[in-house]
Amino acid sequence: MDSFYGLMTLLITAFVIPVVSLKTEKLAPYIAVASSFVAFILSTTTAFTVFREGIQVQQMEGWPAPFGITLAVDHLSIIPILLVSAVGFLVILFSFRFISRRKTEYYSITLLLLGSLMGVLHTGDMFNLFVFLEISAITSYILVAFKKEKESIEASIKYLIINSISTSMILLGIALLYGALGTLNMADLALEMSAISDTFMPISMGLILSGLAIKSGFVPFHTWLPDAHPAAPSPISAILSGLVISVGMYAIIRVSSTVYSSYAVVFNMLIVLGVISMTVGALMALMQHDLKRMLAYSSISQMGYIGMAVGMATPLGLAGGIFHLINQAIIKSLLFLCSGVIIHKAGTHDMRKMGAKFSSFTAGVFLIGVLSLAGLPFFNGFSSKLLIYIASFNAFPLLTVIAVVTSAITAAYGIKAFVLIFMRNTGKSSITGMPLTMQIPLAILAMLCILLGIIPGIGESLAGFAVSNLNNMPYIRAVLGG
Amino acid sequence: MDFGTTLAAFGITICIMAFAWRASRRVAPGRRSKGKESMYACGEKLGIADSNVPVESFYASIANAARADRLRDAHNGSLSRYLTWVFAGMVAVMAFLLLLG
Repeated sequence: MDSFYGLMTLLITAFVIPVVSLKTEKLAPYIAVASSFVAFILSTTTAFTVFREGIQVQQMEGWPAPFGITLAVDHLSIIPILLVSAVGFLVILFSFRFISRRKTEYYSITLLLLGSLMGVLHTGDMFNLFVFLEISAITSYILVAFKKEKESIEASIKYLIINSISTSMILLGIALLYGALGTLNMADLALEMSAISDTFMPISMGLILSGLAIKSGFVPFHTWLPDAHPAAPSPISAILSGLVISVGMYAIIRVSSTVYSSYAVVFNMLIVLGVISMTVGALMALMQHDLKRMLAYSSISQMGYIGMAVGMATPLGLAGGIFHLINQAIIKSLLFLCSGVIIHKAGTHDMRKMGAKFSSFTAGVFLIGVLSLAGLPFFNGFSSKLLIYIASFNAFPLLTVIAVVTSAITAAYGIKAFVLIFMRNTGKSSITGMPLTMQIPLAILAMLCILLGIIPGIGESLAGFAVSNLNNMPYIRAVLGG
Repeated sequence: MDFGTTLAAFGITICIMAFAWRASRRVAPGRRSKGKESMYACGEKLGIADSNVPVESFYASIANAARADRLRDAHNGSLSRYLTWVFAGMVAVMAFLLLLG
């Protein structure tokens, strides 16, 4: 399993960078770019193997499941693995010229964050899921406070306190599971779960899912997110909004579809949380003047779409949810990276005060991101939202109405942001020019928005592949053998 | 159609479009004229500032209709209030799962 070596590359390099930087800090960005690129290549080769041969399982030190630590990459996890490695590489490339101080700390912790996200996507047991989620949370706290300003430190402390509750809930839920079933291997848990009826199970399920809902930013568990995401440096905001909450959503899908697959009520709960998050996030985004805070609320709204789609538990709904997960990661990374350029040049987060003239490239990629987010035809957001609309119309037509109205609100705040930032000439200085290492990631992400919009078959095939094996028996057989 | 073919088709389309655009610029090079750039709105001459929609307030009606100001007031940054929300959310999720599960 090549992607496992990608994961290890990220984790090891995270510790190599501080050692190398004892001599000179200049090497840190180069090592980080190389490491994330290697992880991306190895993830791609694993993706081809999974597409060709199916689920890939690795038992650590040869200890068979459920006794040893199991790493498993299946149809569901390979898509987020590709996403994390690709977006992670682009964000690190963007940071190359964007981050000018404390490079050792920045690159080391960012690689650790990316490695932990890859760990969540690889692990086959609940305890390691918890451990990797914790590593990602701790590294996120540090990166949110990276600027060492009043707002960033306050946001980081809020994030730490609220996420500590999430951690406690998940750990307590796992403890209940272990106490009742005596195993932590997800495949083994799935087998044992179908055989017993325990009153503790809904409680453990509630604890774990509430904890993961905090990590994914579902309303009313979202309160840390609008403070934490804008406070971080923009490349980190791109990782937090594009990848970290998406991996939280992956964990919800994984736990719901593998461990608690016999409890259909989990999916109903996801619909409720999804609809609330979708509308509250969009309305709050509409009222923001701070560009990054608006994008943070927008992430909550988009996670709502994904939650609602996954909650329908139909093949179309699940495919729509996974496809939107891919699109949300691409769009939000693009917009947050763009916001980094805009805020850096304009010197303010407040869209009402941004009157400077930006380069047509910045305006163009931001517009592509905004139109994709709003779900306009020929952009990737439209392709995935269309699947979600059709799936929700087949299940509960009222949900389609809510989703379409929310999409209109999304268009409203997106257009408002574009007009406020780029279409008002207040006579301030003209701002042009951007290093190539910043232009390339923006251009690639913008091209992906268009490519997945005009050829939606690519994304639909990937999402269809991800949900083709959601019946957990092939996963159980691959992990436990037999 | 496999991924490679669609990607190739996309690349070829872009090349054709780029070639067509380049050729059109040679046949009819763009010329700036006052007429092209002048603003026309229902027979009146309007400055750019007059014809712009006041975006800061334009979308406020949507927020007003949804009484979103209450929602905004609730997001006041107070950690104790946020923790109450998290706790209430957890209780609601538990109740949902226990009652309907």
